[in-house]
Amino acid sequence: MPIGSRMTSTARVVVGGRVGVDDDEAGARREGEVDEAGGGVDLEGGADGEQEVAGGGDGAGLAEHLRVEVLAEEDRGGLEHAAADGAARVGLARADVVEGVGELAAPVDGSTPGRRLGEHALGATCGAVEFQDLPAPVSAATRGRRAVSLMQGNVASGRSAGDRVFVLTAMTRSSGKLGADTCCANLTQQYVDTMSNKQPAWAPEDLDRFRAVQQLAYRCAEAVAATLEPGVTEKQAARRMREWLMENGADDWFHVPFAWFGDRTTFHRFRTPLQFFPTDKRLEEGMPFILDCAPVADGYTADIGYAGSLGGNAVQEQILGDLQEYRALILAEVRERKPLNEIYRSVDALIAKHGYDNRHRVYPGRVLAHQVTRLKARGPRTVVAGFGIRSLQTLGRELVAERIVGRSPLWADGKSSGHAPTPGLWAVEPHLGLRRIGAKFEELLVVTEDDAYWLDDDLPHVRAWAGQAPTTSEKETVA
Amino acid sequence: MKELQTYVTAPDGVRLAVFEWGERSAATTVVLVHGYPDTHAVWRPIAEQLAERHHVVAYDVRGAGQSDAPRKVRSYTLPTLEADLGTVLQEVSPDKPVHLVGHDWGSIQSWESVTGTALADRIASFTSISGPCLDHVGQWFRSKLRQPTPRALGQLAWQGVHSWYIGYFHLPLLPPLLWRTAMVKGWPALLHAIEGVPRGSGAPTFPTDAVRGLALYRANMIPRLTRPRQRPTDIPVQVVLPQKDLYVTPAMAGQAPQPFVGRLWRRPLRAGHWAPLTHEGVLAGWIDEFVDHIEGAPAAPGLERAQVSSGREGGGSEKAGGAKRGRSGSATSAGDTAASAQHAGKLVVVTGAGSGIGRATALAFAEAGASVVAADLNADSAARTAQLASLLGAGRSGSYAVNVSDPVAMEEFAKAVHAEHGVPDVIVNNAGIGLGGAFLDTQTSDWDAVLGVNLMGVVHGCRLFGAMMKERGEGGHIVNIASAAAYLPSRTLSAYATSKAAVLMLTECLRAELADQGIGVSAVCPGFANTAIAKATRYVGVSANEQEQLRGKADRLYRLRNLPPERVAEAVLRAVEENRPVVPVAAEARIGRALSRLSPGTLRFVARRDLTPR
Repeated sequence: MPIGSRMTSTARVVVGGRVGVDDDEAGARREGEVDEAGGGVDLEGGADGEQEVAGGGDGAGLAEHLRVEVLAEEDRGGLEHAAADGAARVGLARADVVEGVGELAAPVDGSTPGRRLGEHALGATCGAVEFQDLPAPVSAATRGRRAVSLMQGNVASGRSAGDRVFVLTAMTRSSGKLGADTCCANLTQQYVDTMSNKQPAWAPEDLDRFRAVQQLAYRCAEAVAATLEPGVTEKQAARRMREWLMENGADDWFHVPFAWFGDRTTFHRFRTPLQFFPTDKRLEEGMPFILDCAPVADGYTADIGYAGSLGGNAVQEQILGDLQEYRALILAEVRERKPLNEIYRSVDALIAKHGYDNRHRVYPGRVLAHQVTRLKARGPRTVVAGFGIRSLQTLGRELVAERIVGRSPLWADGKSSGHAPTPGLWAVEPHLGLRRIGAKFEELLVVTEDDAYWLDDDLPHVRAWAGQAPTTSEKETVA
Repeated sequence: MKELQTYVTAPDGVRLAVFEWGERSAATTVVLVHGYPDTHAVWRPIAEQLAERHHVVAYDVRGAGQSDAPRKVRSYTLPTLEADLGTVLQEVSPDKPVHLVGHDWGSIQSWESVTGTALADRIASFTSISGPCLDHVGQWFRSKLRQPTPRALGQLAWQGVHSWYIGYFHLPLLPPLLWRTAMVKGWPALLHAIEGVPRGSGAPTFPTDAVRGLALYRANMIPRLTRPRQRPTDIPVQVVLPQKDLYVTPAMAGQAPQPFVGRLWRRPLRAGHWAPLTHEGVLAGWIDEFVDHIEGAPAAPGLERAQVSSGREGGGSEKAGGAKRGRSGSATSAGDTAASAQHAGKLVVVTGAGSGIGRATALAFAEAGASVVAADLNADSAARTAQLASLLGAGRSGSYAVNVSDPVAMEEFAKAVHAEHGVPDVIVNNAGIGLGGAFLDTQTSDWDAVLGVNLMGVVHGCRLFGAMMKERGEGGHIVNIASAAAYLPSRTLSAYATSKAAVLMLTECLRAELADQGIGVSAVCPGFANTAIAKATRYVGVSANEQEQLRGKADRLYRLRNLPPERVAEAVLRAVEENRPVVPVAAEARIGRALSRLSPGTLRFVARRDLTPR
């Protein structure tokens, strides 16, 4: 259960914009304008430089990207968890969250901006509310001229009296002038960091392109799987995938195609990443195999995994059948906005129940999934250590940018994944093994601010679960 | 039992002594062919048991006992011996095919008839003990040389070491000389000392049989092994594989017939080469089971597990695995893998098999070809283990929900296993629970719980299944999962460590007691294996809140230690294969065991530290 759903009531303030009050018990939602009386804050910061930092030059400052939430949160554990998560709560909302631009009506005191702004914001929303015992920032992160801090305190009186709140402040400093935004946030809030190069990935046409590349990749895997015969080597299979994809519209790689046969489907005795690369191992009758390819077409990336066997393998068929539960479990828990590392552990628990072995922990970073973005990087389309260099550039930048806000584009079971699902596209790859036989699927999960769904359900493993014959709908190649 | 002696005359005029037991009117006739240097006397103990239900026939092969002994070596070729058998069959069972049983050379020469055409329709089934078809062996050697993997070459070399005597028997003068001199008294003494053959079971014609029988080797070995023929057969064959055979390695005897025999059963037996004299009860039982099954009776569980190739679908499986087996491709391949595996045909019972070490052990045995019975407190997880075991290629698997600390439930469980699956070859007493905290906070009820599962559960398992193994007489193995805590004192694990130390000592005592029965007993002492026990361990003397915290932290440490239960499972299999007394698993367990001997003071010092993660 996500922490957000334990709330008894929520008041939402959108700084400089609209106010929404959710009351779960009444099921009603009231909205109103924020009282904009009072002094103004120069949220724009007045300088060009910080706009570059903050918003990518679209002219909008920080202010309109923020919103405030007051929680009626009774679960101390959840709040402590939130506090521990620190700066992970801080970020900037996407432009489409808030309509209209307003200014936060409070003077900024450089020493305690969070308190002042918090008081103002809450006061504006809830009437006679004041802070009590607002401690020093519990967490902060800085980068260049931009700073973010997280504070927590109690609401002393008014409608939300006794509630714990978090105050998040984002500041930019330029020419000695401090611009600041503050919001009170809860765990369920998600922001897209404007510092990231990530494009909002859910423009319908973008998703269509991602879907098309994913279809292409799965068609490649199916086509190559159909050609596999006894005696073929992993290297040959990988080369066939590579050639097929190059012929059918791929122009770069997230990573080069991989093929694993036999006990290598469970990464048996893998000690170094070099062992992921295809070998001269030959396919035999009854042997399981996994084909994994990640083509890029026009910057749109797919990353898929396809498991099968030569002539049938009862164990692998069982694992493939059970993978259905993992697909449902992951989607359900992402929708609940559980922290990613908790979802990872739920997956582990299901693995233990089924009696399998978690094999995705052998992947670099133990990842169950990793984020996929549209490649914008320029430069040669070279492959380094099996990964496309442009993808590596993008991934590197993601790792740094997400790290600053306490998140990770890699989804594992460690602390760095202790945050709610980041909106974007995730290539999810549960990889299970039983003794020396492994199976996986890998496909893109679309995570939005408050929902999630699989990018495409017309995939071989999903069709197999549904017991349907493969649809022969027109699938144009991605050009 | 009355032994009826007659003579028949072979086509070339050689007179053969034939011996019969039981009623000639019985529905089935079993013909026993002895080896070298034996006579029909080697079969007497088995014949007397079989005669209660069958018409049993044995004869002295030419050159042995009371049969004639032609002088020329070429009178001992396999076709001649086949003709002898034909003559005997014509005499003792002219109308009905017989069930043939051969030991040593008796088996080698019977293979000639089983894979040939002349007597094929006179033979209903064949049980081969320690005597492979020479053509199959030749082919087996060739196939190993064609794919000279280290394992294949190792098997070849090992068989070569065991076949020294074949070269020796081809030497002039020396072998007959030795048979006539030192071996007159030496041979029976050697058999008694090495194989445990009872004194006085040799034939009165002994040294003469040995000298004349050398012709068997000289007439056949070289031509058959150097120019092996393709000799397939449709006759059902049960191959008994004595595991401690000094002359025929089980690897060769088990693998060689596989490509040529359509219906094959393989039954490993913990015995030496002269199993008919040392394990007569077991062999008589197996022959009886096999004959009954070929005559139409349903296969006994042990026999069903022993079947390797086709015809497996007929066995019927009550578990979910059966449904998956429909796909012929996977079933065959899984069956073939399982058949060549180390524990093929064995029945393995694992308690606490629903998760962790128990499940990993059950699956490892299944992968190695064994049939698995999974027992767990949780019926669903036990059933899941059994299902996965079936998928991995094990034969019929089963699952039971049982509380090992409940003597009545365990008794019923043991009875049910015996009725449905037969006597287990391996029992793994794995079920266990964790308990942490100070001794003075531990209540009597806590002690009852820990000792009930960890100690009495093991006691019940050993008692019930050990008795079954002893009664059956085929040997077996008991593995008790103890813990490194059995020899590592700790101020916070008094109850748990005590229970595990008791298991370790129980294992040592039982090992001594059951050694004569051929039943091995091993204790496996894992370190911090990453299983559900970390999250289920109960800590006494703490609040419910702290309890959860301790569990969470312990679980985290176990995850970080990352000792997968599969490592422990490998150790269990190794303990069975090598009959090892105590197997510590993982560095902490091995170092701890070394310290407990070299420097117990260090361990006492460490024991005083409270190492509970807080």
